[in-house]
Amino acid sequence: MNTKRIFFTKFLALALLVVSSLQVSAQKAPGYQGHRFVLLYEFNFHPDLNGLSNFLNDQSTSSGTSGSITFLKSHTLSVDYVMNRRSAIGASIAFFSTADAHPGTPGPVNSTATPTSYNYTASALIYSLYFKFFRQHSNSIAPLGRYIKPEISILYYSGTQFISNGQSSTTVYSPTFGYFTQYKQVAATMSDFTSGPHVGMAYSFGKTFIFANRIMIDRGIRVSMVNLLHATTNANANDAKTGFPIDPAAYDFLNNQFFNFFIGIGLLP
Amino acid sequence: MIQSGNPEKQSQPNRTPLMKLIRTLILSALLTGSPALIHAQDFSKDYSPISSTGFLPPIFVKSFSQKAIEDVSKIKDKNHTTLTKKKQFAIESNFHIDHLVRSGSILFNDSISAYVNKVLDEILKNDPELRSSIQLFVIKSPLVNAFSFDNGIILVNTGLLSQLDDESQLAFILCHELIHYKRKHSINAYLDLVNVSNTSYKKSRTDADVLNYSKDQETEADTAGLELFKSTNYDFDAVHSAFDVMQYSYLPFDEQEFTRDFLEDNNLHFPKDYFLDKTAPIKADDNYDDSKSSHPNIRKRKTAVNSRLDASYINKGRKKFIVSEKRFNHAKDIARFETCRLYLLDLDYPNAIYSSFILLKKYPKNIYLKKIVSKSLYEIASYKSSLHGAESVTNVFGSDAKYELKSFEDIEGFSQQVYYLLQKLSSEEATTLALNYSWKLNSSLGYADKQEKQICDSLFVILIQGNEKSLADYSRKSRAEIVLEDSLKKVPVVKADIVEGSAPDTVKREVSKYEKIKAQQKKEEVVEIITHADENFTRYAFVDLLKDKAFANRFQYFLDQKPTSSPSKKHSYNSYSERRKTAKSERKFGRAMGIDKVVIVEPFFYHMDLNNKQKMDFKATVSGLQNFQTVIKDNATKAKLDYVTLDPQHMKEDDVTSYNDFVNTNDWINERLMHGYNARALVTATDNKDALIAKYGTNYFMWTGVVSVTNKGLRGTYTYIYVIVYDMAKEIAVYSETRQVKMRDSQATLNSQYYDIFNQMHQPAPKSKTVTRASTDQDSN
Repeated sequence: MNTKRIFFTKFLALALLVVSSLQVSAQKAPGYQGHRFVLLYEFNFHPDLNGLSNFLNDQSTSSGTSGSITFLKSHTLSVDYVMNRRSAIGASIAFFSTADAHPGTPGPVNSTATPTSYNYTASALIYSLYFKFFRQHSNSIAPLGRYIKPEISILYYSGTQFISNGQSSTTVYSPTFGYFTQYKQVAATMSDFTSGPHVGMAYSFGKTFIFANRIMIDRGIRVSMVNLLHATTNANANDAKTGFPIDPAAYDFLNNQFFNFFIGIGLLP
Repeated sequence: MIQSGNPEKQSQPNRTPLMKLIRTLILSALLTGSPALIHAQDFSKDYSPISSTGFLPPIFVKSFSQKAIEDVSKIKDKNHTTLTKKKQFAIESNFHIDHLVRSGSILFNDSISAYVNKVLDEILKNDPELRSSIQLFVIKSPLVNAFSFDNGIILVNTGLLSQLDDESQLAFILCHELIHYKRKHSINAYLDLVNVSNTSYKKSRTDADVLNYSKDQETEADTAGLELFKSTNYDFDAVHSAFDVMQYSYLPFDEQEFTRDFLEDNNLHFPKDYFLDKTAPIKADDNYDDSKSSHPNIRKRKTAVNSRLDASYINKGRKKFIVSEKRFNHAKDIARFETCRLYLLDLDYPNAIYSSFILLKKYPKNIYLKKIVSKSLYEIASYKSSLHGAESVTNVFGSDAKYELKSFEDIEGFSQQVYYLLQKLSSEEATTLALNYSWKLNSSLGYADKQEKQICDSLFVILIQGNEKSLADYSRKSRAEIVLEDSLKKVPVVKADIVEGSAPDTVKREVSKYEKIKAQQKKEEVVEIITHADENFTRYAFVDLLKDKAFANRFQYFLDQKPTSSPSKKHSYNSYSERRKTAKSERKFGRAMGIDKVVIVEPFFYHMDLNNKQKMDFKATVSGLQNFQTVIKDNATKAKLDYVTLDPQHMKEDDVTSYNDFVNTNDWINERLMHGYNARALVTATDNKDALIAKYGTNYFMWTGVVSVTNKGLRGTYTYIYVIVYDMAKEIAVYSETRQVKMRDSQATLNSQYYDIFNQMHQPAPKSKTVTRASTDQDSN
């Protein structure tokens, strides 16, 4: 209950922020040369906080990724619509993957035997709606220049988690939401899982450049927060008490989503 | 490139034979018609500011990069480092020439330039090769100066021409400049400064060494110039007198005592202490300390020249005038008129008044000079008034520069009196004086001069709203009339006996001795009061004017217009609520000014790199300027804003009309900008203003440009965009903005900003949008 209240308070704060920003920045004069649509591909790289954590704790496991700082990556496709000289709205779809088997935090799920190490591989689709507000004080005019971007996302993720028994690795493919994810299998026991939708919020700071009047370069940093409560009825996890502890992979996964850098290339049609 | 010895012909680019023939015919007509030009202006009545004619010379038509490439290709040097520096110098000097060209100050094919070129022809008649490499222009500047560039361009200021006594002095100064060119002094000084070949030498160089090098060059130009001068048939006296011109160049072009009667009339008398008993003597020492000067002092220069002159000083048969005394005097007069005009444009009002005063001695009925005095007095009144200073719509360059009269204590000679008087006048006194002068001029022009009318109206507003004056503050009777009336009232018996002479039957007594004494004392008092006005001299300033119904009616009209609330509130640009309303509207709709067409005057672009020794990045500036032209074109088109550019760098050789339009517009905008915070002061540079508005079909003239600054200390590049749009008819800035963009000056950045600017200018105002600017004084008429 308490968690729900926190979530709605945050959501309300975000909504207020969007509305107030619109009031401040709205101007009917259109933005950059009257261009209205921007197609954008963004490459995101996420510092691996688990890796960092392990690194700081000087842990080492057989997976090979622990104990060092790595970056995970994701890809985003988006469409912006420039409403006026200071703001744009947009929608995006992002694909996130842990790619190789990723060390996770052992939890109670599937812990039928004490594992030598606990791993998972996961991927996610994140659907987002957002506003971009170009910053008046640095004289940015949409879609060029410095901006802030509050966004709301719906996130689904899927993956495979497994427990290693120390045997040699093989490579298998596993379908998750229409994608095939490659992972190393060093586990004797594994299980597929799906989860979602989760509701998330993100806030980005970015800066765009335009070349040759058509090509846009976008770069910045994003901070996001995903609600661990499932928005739909999932038999396995429908509240914080049960959802969070039984899904350590989600915890790790979302932890990695916490902040990321991005660089993108866009087209002004 | 070998060019014709004829300076006018030099300025012609290659064309087809037919075009060449047509051009030759036109130029011949111009040249043979030049004496006719002398009579074209009747200075005794009026003056029209001088303008260029014919075809634009190559330095105007060629772009900066073209000129730089041409000059760079001519440079040869075996030493690679020196070669690089020489090329750099060629680029820099062309950049400065280009800047001068774009300033609109350079004259060509006009009567003064034609005359000065004739004198140069005379000097170099035995050296056609050298003559063909020189391009001589006159530049509109009140400063007494002449200078030469290494590519053969010599410039002579109108300020110098206004101070010369004869043609031979001009010839000697031109000889001096020719030596600078022949001996390549500019580039040698540049190389000496950077001293590329010897680092240890460079280290040992001090500022004094650099200045000494410059002094040596000047001495060389004097002495070798004298040798060249000897080869002419000009009078040797010019050598000495030319140095006198330089020595006293800080003074106005003539010294005549500034008298009270110039601004006084029957009823307006300045108090005694408003005039100095004696103005400061002219000190002008010729042996001044020149240790921090690029030139040796005058005494040293004279000595150096004298040592060479004495041996061959045979003045017999030599002349003060060879080309024409008449043309010299004509050129000098024009230069003096221009100097008066330029003082006005530079907001140097005391000098404008004093110089006009001198010329009015020669041409007492000249309207143009009287207008300059009227405008100068008006601007002084305007600046002294808190009413005008209270509002500001201009926030770009120079806007915070508050106008201050130079202290009279720093001035020598008779012109000191003007400084003293203007300094002494209070706001009310200055306004009264200006209105007195301007209305009389307005009246003598039959109330038909639009600007004089505007000036008078603006002065009424300053007087009534700024100084809280009403008709009651001004006497309709002169002091003499009032004093006489008083005395007659107080001494009726005296009146009966003395004034009427014969005693009526009812009064039959003798006037006593004491009554006679008192009557005599009264008479003397009247004379005393009339002769020496008291402090409240403004009370009687309008006695004559108030007899003019038009004046009294106009005064009453502005009294009726006077707002009931505090004038500062009424006349401030926007009240708080208005500002809020404007801000809200701008947030919602942008500025939405509904402008259909605009004239863009000389768009500029500078790229500065503060991390380099050379702050200006010339290459980036040139390419940026070209790019900027494209940006303006693309975005104005995209925003559907019709526009015309007045930019000398993009004019064709036969665009002299556009060039003159540019010069006029530039003068207007420069003066408007210089007024800065005094945004309601009328602009005085209004020659051809109405014609410009009619010709281009718009009231809106835009001054805009980009300055890009790279500075690692500031962590990156900032692009500054300056925009001011003036409604020239109303003389107000309708849009003024400086944008600081923390981005590179890329085409995308500029496109983004300029599309936004043009779009906001063109967008029609929403129906709900109210007028945000208080109507101006002249609107109310």
